[in-house]
Amino acid sequence: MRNSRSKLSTGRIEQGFQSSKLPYSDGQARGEAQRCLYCHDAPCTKACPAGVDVPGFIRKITTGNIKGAARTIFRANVLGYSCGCVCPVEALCVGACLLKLAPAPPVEIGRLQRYATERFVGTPAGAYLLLATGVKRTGRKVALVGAGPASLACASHLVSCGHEAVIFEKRDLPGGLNLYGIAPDKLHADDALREAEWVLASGVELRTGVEVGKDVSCERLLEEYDAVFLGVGLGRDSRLGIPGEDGPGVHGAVETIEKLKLDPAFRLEGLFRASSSTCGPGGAAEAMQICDMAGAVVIGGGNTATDIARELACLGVRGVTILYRRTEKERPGYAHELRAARLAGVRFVENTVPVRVLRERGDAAVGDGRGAVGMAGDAGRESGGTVAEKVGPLKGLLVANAEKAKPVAGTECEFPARAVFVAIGQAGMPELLSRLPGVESDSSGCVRIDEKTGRTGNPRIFAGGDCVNGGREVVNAVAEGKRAALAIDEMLR
Amino acid sequence: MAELSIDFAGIRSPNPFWLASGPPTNTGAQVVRAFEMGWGGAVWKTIGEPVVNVSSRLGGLDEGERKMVGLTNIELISDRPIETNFREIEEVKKRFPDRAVIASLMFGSREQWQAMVRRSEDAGADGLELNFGCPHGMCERGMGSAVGQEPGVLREITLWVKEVAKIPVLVKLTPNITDIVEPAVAAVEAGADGLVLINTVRSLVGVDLDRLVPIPSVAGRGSPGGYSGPAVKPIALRMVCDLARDERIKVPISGLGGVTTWRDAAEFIALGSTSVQVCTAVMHHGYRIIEDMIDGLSNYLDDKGVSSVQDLVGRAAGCVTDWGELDLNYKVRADIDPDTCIGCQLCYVSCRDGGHGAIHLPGEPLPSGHVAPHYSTVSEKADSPGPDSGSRGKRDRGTRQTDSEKSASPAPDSSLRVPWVDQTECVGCNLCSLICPVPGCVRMVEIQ
Repeated sequence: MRNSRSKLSTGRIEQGFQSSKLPYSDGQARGEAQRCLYCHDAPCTKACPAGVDVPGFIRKITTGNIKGAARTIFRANVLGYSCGCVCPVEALCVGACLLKLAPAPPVEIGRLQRYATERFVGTPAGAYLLLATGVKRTGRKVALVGAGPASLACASHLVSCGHEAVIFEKRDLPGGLNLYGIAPDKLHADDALREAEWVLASGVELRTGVEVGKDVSCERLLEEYDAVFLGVGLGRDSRLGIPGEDGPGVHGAVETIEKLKLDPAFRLEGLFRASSSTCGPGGAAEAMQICDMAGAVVIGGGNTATDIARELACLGVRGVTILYRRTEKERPGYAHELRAARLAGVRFVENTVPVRVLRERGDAAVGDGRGAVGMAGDAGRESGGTVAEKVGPLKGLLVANAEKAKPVAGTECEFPARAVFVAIGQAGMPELLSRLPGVESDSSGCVRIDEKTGRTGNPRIFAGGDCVNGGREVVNAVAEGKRAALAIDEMLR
Repeated sequence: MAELSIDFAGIRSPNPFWLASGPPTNTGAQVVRAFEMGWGGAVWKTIGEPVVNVSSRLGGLDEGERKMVGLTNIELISDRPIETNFREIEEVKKRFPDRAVIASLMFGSREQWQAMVRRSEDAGADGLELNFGCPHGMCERGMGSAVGQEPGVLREITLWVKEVAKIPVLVKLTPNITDIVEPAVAAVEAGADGLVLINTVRSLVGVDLDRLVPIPSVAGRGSPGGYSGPAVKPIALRMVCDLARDERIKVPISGLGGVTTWRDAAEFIALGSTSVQVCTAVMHHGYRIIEDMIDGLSNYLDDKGVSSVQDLVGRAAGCVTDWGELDLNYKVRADIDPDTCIGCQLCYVSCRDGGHGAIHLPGEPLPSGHVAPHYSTVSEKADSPGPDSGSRGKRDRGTRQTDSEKSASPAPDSSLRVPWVDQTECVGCNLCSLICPVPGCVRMVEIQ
């Protein structure tokens, strides 16, 4: 497992981020664990999508049985380590902690879960905790599409039931959004990768660089495998769909976070419009461009918007503003995340919607170009003046007051920006889904499933994770992967 | 300000807090530092034929994050020359004439005992403490607890001492005996002027699970030691009280065993101790704890309108009786306050598995003929008193919730989790009130 570190180059921007919740020492963990009341019928466990026996594992920490604590966690959640780091515990287990009524600070369950699991992830001793012993092989085969948290959890459970699980991943590395989408102050990519490879080592086969629907047809999957699990996520960032969107300076949030986390060649300065006076060539320009890391506008009210805004602010971008089309109360993102973003200097503006991207020259209806926003942005940057000549560098946004998320005519005004980050959700995978017979999706592009089993309209195809829930937490993906695994196992018996 | 000074069988002390014989009273320099900080007296580390001590000597018992709730030791008496000890006693007594300095002695023959009694008096000691309690090492040589466990021998040695002693003679007893009153009566009959208890409890504090050797270990082997610290306090309190309640014992008692705070001291005094002695707490925290002990006891006496520490002595001992004298008609029942209950349901689990099955979860039916609680007496806010109501005990959490942001902090809601007590099944054992994490939430209410 150690060699997995070498798969990611150093020099990635995310490496500069430190966890905001530092790991516990043994003594700290024991002390915190002893604060747990060990409630009967514990509300924290009920609040955990994966159903981790929280008081059970915490009790084991107090007795020094860390291996037992880890096993309790992994049995319910194979990604228990990363969930310990990234779960919005304030809204889940910790939020339900009855100590809050005592009143006393709630038990820091996430940190304790990280403490209990961290030492085992990626180690032979830890692999022993995951491996199911004495399981009869069934000879049944399940294909899983996408190597994100949902598929990893589903595959791991299928293997422990004796089935063969093969994951098809179009990228080079397993992990999905856990690898390239988690805010770097919560989890670094190398740790996510280490965990994913460790889960796979429990007996899951991984085929990377294989895109289902392109490199291997959906029909062949259904022919060769007894069941198929879709854990494909939601794909690229959604587009704003307003004039001027295509061109330099407008970036997808998910795509940008991925670059911060994985691309050692990525330079944040390149996303910002350079000042006209600093358009000189060579090193001087780069030095001057650092001064241009100001005036970032993030569009969206979810957690991805808060994540990218906070990361930009932490990386030294001055003047980061989130624009949201509804009120702060209505935003779907977590309040504690917005609070942290504000502490980092982010400004939140509610009831505001962009209606046009303003550009220095050629500010016009060139905005209906093809491709994702991020690609257009890249093209603008990399090809230097050529695209910029056509489209013109970013000047800002024309924004309007919003009422019920719709712009109010006559309220438009200019909002200057040197970079715009679009975090209004992801586009979904309509092309792939359309090739799967019987699989339907709803109006927002999410796969329709049976709530109890995760089964799609095709009885042999199951789904879970973001492609079903529209983008929720890692722990939700794990829970949905497990749910499908149980149903698949039942079907294949 | 309450009067804290005491007169213990003629030994005067500005406060009832004495350092017990042990490592904190090993040298003159230590006792001087203790007296400078305010300790009222010190019983010197037991003087005898100098011994060679082992390494290591101590083993601790931790409870959760709390270190050393119990301490076991296999250290013997003083390993310093007899003359050095007496010379330092003399120096300390000269420097602190108002403090009680007591020489603890442990010898074999009558001649030795009597010679050392005289030597102690020459050094200016205010009293003598005969160590008949040490439960390890010395007892194998026929001394310490070997004497304390044989009332006949104890009586004889006490008589030897009393033949020559001009200063008060205190006998220190071992708890490693079936009936503490027997050796105490023997001591009093032999003329002892005061009793000191308890010495340490013979114990084996633990096993090192990596090496599979006892704790503490000496070159891979261990030996039972003497247990002290907060864990032994209940044993000590009982034994002090046994003596205080016995009419044959008319001499003052110096109580020790787990005294760590002024509260512990007040309990010992209330059960019959005139002075209290401290050793393990000082080994743990240092002499400095005396400041709060004096301050806390003084404030307590003032708050309770007790004018002197002497007036507190034995005040609770009279309430301790034989079990057979307890009132079988007296009844209490548990009553859970739904306003403060946080819904952890620990009382439910305890009563179900380790009690009498009298506590039920919301929604569980009340057996016919049984009595449900009358919550109206506890809370006006309780919605409906019936145990079958799911919303029983529900109340507005809004006032207590400081962080009510919607998704960031979902408020835990205990209103549907408040257990209730079947008043017919409850035997009034106290268990639920003992394990409840919320102070005052489970009350034990007297039933008329």
